[in-house]
Amino acid sequence: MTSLLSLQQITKAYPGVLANDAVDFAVERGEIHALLGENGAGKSTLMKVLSGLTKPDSGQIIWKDQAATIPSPQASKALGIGMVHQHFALFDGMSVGENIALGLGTQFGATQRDQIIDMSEKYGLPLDPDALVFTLSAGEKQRIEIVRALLGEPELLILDEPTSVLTPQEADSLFSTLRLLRDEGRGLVFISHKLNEVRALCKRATILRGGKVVATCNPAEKTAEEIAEMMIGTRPVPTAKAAQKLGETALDVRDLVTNDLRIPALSVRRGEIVGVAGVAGNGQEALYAYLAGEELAPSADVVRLNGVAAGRFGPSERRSLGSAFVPEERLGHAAVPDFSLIDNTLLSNLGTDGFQSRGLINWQLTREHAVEVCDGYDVRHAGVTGRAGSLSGGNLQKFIVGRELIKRPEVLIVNQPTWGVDMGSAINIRDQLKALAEAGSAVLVISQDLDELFELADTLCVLNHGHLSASQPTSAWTAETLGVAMTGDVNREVAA
Amino acid sequence: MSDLIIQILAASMLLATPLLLAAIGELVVEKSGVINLGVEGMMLIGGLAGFIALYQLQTSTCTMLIGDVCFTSENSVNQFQYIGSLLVAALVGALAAALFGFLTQYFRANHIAAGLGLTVLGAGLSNSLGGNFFGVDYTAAIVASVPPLFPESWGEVAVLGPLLFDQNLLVPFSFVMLIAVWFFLSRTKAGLVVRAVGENHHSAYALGYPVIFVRMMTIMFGGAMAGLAGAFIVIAQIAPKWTEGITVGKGWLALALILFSTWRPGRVLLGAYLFGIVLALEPRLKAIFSNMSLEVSYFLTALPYIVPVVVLVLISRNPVMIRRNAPASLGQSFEPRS
Repeated sequence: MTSLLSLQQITKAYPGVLANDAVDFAVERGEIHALLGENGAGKSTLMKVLSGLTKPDSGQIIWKDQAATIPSPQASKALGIGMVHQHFALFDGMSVGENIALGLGTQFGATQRDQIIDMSEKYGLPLDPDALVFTLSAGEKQRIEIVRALLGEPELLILDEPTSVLTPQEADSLFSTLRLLRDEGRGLVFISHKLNEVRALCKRATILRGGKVVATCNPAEKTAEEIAEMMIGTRPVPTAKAAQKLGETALDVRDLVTNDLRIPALSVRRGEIVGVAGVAGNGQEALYAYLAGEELAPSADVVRLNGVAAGRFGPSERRSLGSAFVPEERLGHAAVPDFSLIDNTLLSNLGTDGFQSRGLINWQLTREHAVEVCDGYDVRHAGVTGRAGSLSGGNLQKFIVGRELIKRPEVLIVNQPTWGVDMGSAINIRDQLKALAEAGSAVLVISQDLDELFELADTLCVLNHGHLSASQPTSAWTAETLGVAMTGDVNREVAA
Repeated sequence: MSDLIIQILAASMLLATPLLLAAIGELVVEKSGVINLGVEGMMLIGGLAGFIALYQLQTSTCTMLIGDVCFTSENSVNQFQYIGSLLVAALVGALAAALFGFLTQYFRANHIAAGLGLTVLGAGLSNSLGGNFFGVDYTAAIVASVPPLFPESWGEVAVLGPLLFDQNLLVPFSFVMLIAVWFFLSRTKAGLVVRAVGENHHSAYALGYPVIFVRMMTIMFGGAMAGLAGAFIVIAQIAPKWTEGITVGKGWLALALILFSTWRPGRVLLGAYLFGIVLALEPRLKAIFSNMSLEVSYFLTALPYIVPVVVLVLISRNPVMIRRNAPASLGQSFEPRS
């Protein structure tokens, strides 16, 4: 049988980087083919070639035995290639139906409404065509992308990190849909960082590293560790967090009840890492805001930092009590994209001694400090005067985590520490968090990544629809019980 | 009493129409994610161009030839000459907008800077050309008034005659365009694409829509509408007459109306007519209450600028509707990610 799609010797260079170096890649009909690699390995570039967003410098695209060129996104669609983007290519201010109509190049009308409903029933992707996109959850937004791609009747469907924002249950239901599509004879390309998913779903994987294909294998026959080793070169050995005696309670939250949160009790002791699991949009942002002082608690004694009633303190006052904060949004919340790394270093250090005196900034010290953060936390950059926005996600994340860690905070609150970060950087950041706790600080990690929480946390609790469950030792949880706690009972309509 | 109301409404149509024309055009521009602050400049350039065209059409049309001498009728303009001058105004407005479009879309100039530049350019250029364009001083040029669209006797029909029939061509045109733009944006595929480009240009590009082409088209449409708005002020609002800076900030007002109406065509109409009605009301109120204090009189003068803003802000507070209608990519330059 001939391949549905075959890429031969695709090469694409950007200034300073060879993003794709003679890459061969083939997808058969009725196959879910995994494309693996770290961020920067060249997966995105290869997919951009397929979706017509970029032209390769050399190499051939063979589509159903015919040489093809894909000069534009329209051409890609016309060939029969559908794309589900990782960062949803959606129009937030428009309805689900309008979004889908735009993908099809039609006007949204009664026919489209019927088509959408048919398609969503056929593949188990429930959607309301009239809902406005900005009111939807990440899982629902992804369903829009999938239905939109499917309505174009693609023979090849590319899914870029489709499960990164889904609950285990939502991911399972997505996999049923993907298997259904595979059995219809379509080709699927599945890009993911989650190796266990890849092993469950795919019979063939192509692994990219540094722009080159380093291996093609059947992932089901390899262990996750073996695949990871192929992806990043050296075997990743996350250092285990040393068991240790826990100190006194450093962060203590009691009866924090607001419009969108119900936190009966949450405490972190010195030397402990507490994990807060949950699907995005279940109150993580609010929890972070109340802990970091971006939102003030109803009364002061609701949040205690080192025994001090800090509930009515703002972020600067809380920082001065020895705590530090790393928000989820790297660009725009943790760092100002158009500011230099030096400026960004200053932003969370305005209250730190020495950075300013009598209203004047000590630029010398700030610059040295920025260099120290970059050197100490393996931030690869083109100079500390460069824009923060020009760093890759992983490096920027290492920078904003390092900026706080270097202060050796007694309490660290971090929201989604490795979201969208490459594997090498993620291991680095997790190791740093563990080292901080081992040195006797209290660390609270809010994360959607269950593997990460199982690796890091001593104690886990679950945030579901703003309600925080009781904490239990991590060993008492399984992925299944967590999954249920993340979606179950608490008056939340469970996505079918 | 009803006479007075009809009078006020008829006057308000004259005052609201240029606002409505300019705002409808700029609404489409903003819906595609571009903010063009050059409306005032395009109105001035377009208005002057329309005036020059009308003057030329009128003086070059011989009504009587005696020997080699061409006698022109300086006291009549026909509807065709008027339409011709409007086309010129729209074309020149669109060309001025195209300049803004090239700067912002192809050279990715900052929208605000380029728009302000266009306003300054429009004001300066229309001032100097209006004083001397190929030897004619248009500040002193005399052009006959434009005849009404319908036979004059219709305009004398009791009660509604002055409202419906004693109007300039551009008045019904502004309503037609309002409905057309509303229909285009909310009901057609092309309108959906325009909104998509304004909502998220990266997504629109990834789905295969030509972001820059769409924006060039809307920018030029906006320029043409601004040109018409300028021509209406210069030619039709009172009698045809060119003076420097004749638009006196109507372009800015149109920009503000769009913002306060949260990009909804119906509310742009409401805002424009509130402005027109209150402005038309002012001299009549002053005439009736001739002994009002100076403070009240000043307040009345300011009222046309206050009322539409207050009313629109009060009725447009729904954050969901704002999120639904506000173009999220407004003012951002588009550069394909490679």
